[in-house]
Amino acid sequence: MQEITLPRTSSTSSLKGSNNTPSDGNTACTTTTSDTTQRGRHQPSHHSTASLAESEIKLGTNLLNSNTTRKEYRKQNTFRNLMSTSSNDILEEINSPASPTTPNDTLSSTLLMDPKVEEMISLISQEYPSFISAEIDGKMEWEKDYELRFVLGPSNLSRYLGDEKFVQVKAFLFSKFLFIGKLTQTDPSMGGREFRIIRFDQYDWTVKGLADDSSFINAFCLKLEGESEIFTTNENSNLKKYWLEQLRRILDIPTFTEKQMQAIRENIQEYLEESTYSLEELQEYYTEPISELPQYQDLGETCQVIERKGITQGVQYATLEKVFQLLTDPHENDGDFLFTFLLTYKSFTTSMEVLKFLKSRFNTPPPVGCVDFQEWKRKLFEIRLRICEILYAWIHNFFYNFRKDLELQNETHHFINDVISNSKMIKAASIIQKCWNMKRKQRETFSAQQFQRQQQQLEALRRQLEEEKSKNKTSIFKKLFNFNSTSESESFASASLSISDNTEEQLMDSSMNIARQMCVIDMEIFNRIQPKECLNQAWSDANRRKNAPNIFNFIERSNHLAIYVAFLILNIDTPKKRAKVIEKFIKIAFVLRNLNNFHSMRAIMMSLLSNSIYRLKKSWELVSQKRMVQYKELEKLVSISANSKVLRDAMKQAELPSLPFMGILLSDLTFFEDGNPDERDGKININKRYQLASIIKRIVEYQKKPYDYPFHDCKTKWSNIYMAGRYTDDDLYNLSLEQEPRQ
Amino acid sequence: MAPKETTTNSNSNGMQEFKLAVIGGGGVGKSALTVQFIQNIYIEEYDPTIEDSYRKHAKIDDKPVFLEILDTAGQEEYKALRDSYMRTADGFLMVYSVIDRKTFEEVNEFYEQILRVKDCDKAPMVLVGNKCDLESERVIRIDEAKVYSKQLGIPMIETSAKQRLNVDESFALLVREVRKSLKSSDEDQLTKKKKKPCSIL
Repeated sequence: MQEITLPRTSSTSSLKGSNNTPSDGNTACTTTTSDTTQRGRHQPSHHSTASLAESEIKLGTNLLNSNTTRKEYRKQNTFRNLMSTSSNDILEEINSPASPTTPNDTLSSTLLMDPKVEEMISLISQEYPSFISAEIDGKMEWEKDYELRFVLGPSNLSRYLGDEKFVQVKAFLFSKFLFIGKLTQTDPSMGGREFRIIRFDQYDWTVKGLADDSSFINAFCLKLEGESEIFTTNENSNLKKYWLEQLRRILDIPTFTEKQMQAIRENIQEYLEESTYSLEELQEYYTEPISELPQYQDLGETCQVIERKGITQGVQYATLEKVFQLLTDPHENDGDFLFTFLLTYKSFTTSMEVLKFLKSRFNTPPPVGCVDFQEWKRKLFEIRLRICEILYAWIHNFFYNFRKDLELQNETHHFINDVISNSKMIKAASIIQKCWNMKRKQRETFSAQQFQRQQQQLEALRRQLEEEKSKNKTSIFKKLFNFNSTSESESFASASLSISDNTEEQLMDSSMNIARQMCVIDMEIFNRIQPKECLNQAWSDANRRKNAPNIFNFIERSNHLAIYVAFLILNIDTPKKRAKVIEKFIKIAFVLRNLNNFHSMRAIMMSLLSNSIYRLKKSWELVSQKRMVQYKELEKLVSISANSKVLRDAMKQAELPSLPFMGILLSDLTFFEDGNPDERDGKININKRYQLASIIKRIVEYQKKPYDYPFHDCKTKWSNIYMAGRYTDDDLYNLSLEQEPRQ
Repeated sequence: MAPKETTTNSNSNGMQEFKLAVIGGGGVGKSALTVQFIQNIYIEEYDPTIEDSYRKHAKIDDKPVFLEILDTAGQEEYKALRDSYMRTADGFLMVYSVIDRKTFEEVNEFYEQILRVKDCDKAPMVLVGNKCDLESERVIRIDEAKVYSKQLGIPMIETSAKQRLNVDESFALLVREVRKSLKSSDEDQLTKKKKKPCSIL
């Protein structure tokens, strides 16, 4: 075999005289970067990387003597042994002479090889010799320490192309991406293969199991905003289950870890192998007499399924009983449904009802007339595993439901330690109990106390200002504006020292440093937001400080920043100097936008667009042309016309770390809640809950990747700007009138 | 002064195009009012994330008009946002809830703020008392609201977004107000009165 030096200049000669037998694993490849325009919000903004996040690589046909340096390829004979018979069938099909070779297969020249992709290809080639060589134009951006971990495959799946067309694909699941290979159908002249790499860490993917119907059997759907990848497993429902299980794990819907699941399965295995021939023997697996257990009634298709563009999207309306059934169906392993349910169930049922159902489903008796008890036992354990998973996910991610409910705590404790544990699932019980103990020790992560202290300080400062205002009616208003005014209420005096009322002093640091500091501080506040705060419009009702303290705090942060910015501008006496301060804030806002901090960028723009600043005609006239261009751009970005389309798009396309302008998400939550019925004809509107959960999931996504800029060397601090919150809009407006009187 | 967002009052087809803001405290049912208006036939799903979710073609007094509803329901706590958002709008529905006195009292604050932002002493507005279906919980009598609206010199109407009562009517009232103010500012310009026309128009 010849050696390849990369980048290659040409491989034309080696492509001639190719041979299509599968044992000839060497494949020259050509690369085309796929369309990159339609991706979701994790899409890198630079085209060069975006195109690689999901690349379609067309592989040329097998070439008998093509070049490779990778010795793995020589293992081809052993690869075949690793493959299942059914895999081989597909392999034959893909490698059939139906793929003609043309001298065109020369596109591989001068392509860069990404070491990670190279590693991946060699791993795959161990399993699947026909995908031997692939190259990708440019570099994929992998984390430095990403270890390629093979999860599942190869499996024969069908990929749905729309219009009832399917294509056979070979799929491999790795810990961070899905690799799908198929025959090139689109361009027969290429006669090659194509593969697609779907990187889960770059898009907002969710996974859903699809109910069997006329077009899909054993199907699941990988769903990105606005588009879907539907796959059908060709073998059986078990394969679908494995895929869903693994995908869900990768897409980070936290239930049992792989290791825990393995331990639980091992624990069950010995009981599964024990023979059970009679009802008496089966009774050993139940904690209550089987004869006294209520029969389980399968409600069948009693729910309304929604379809869009001919693709089943999921359940729209269902009765509570049906919702419970869908939740606990071991074959509907839909992680999205689980998350949605656990997040929103309180809007249509109670925690106790959920627990009651889980208990009764756990103890499902064999169906009437059942004779194969061994088979029933197998089914029963599948159901029970699912129940344990749900219970674990519930406790692990939504423990606040249990915190103040003693009755629920007792019942759950009983369920874990008396029912699950005594039903030959001791391992599962102990894992769940461990999680329970850990959660109970943890305190709520809210920094509600700190927040409350800030609010108290602010109230005191406001009162103090009001007093001074009433005392000094005749004095110039401006004089009241002094953050460090020594007050009689000493208890709060120390806090007020940490914020500057001197504009020049406060703006000493570079715009970049100030912006970065804002990012870190904002993210700290944002990260405390809990999913439950986002429901029932908790942030806008009278109890918001109690029910949504962190959302409220996050909003207040932007209000205070807006006031502080206005104050720092109005604090300056000449239009020329004020223009300089305005310029500085335009620059900071511009940097914030580039750092994808839409939260503080929006707050500064709010301030510049507020009446008190907007009306400073003399100052604005002196703002430099360069900054004015940036200001115009930002003004377009924050325009609320066309449903804030520009800002929405920018937020979607922003790479993480990023902070959203929360207002848009809160509006969407409000309109999803108010604009859609909770139920219809006694059936729960599940789709509405999906929509709400999808927004909350976005928030959770943002929280996963924090900003990590160091800012300890900054001269000024931006953490205590809440001190500015003592001033009202009227105060600022009066100050504005004083600086530039009405004409 | 910072450059103004241009407010066009007609699109390329010459059709009138207005931006109407729905304003009011949290919990007055603004969003329900907007949704009911946009979806005049019962559509099962309302998706607020798409571009068209707040737009509507309507025919008011036999004249077609293209409306964009600016409703920042859910964002009430972003207090500093109001100025810029009011500046963008051509007319305002000031909504309170007839079962919540606080929301009625807040209207005055909004009223003052609108005039300040528009920098003139009159702007197209309609006072809307929502949730009038909850008769037993009512705390704001219609007479009281009428007296108040007369003081402000603006029309008033009671609605129930829930029962779809007077929803279209309230928006139609506002469109008429916007048209009226357009006409009067034209007249102002024609007669070359010294009085400055409203900055929005």
